[in-house]
Amino acid sequence: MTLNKLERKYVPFAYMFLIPTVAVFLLFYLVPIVTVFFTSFTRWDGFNAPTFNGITNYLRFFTQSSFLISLRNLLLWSLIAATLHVGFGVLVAFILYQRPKGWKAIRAVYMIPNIISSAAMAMIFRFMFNNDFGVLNGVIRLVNPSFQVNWFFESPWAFIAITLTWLFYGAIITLIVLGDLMNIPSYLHDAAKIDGATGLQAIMHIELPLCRYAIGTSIILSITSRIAMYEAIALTTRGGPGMTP
Amino acid sequence: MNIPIILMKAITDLNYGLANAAAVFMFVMGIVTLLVINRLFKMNDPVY
Repeated sequence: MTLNKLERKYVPFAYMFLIPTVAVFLLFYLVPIVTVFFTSFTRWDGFNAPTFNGITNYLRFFTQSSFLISLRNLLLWSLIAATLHVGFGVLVAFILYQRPKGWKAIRAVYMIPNIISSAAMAMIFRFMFNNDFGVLNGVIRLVNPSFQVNWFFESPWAFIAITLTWLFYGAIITLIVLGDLMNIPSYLHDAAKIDGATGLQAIMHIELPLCRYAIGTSIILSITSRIAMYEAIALTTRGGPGMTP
Repeated sequence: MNIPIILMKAITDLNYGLANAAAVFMFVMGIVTLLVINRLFKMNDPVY
């Protein structure tokens, strides 16, 4: 891209406006990431100076017994996040795109769980799934009075219970995809209608392909959230029943 | 049980080297996810 003389005059100002952002990025992102990388090759207790110990930390990390369980959980949660979680959010986006009656109120109500912090959500679910006074077991006991499952403290129920704390809360995904859907030019739908395309054909050949950036971004956000998920597990199971999920 | 739980346990045990190794692993997983999804969804190609 070639700049004319007038545009070249303003290039230093563009760099000046970028300085605060770059400084914040370097100070709060790049420097900590590089520090974490280098200290991962050291033995450090926070009080004494770090001592270099090669790849001992990595060997210890990959060979501990809880690593394989964690990796399995991570892969399963990533698969569920990429398919069911994002799929549900995309489905709600497509429903809202049709603008049914009261769609703005539905969209607002659907966003409410995102206002609540993940720690508070974890506590809410902890009470809901409680064996003695939780609403879930109370409803199941209407059908089966002898039902006794401590959801967050028994395997494999703990994995299912943790998954349910985030599975249907795809409001951010819905908003990202809905934003892309609303930017689709109307002449594409008009042209498809003239060519005799059905609603499903319009979704498969126009709306979904044009939303692929939003869907891809949503999958990345969802999977990285699962990688970093901490409050939902720590505040409900405190790490899990034994070393199980 | 997941990787952040292992990380927090290493921090509470004052083993910051192990905690940082777990953090690097999480960072690498995030980068791998980004690259795989970018390739799968052809996010570097123009839409139309």
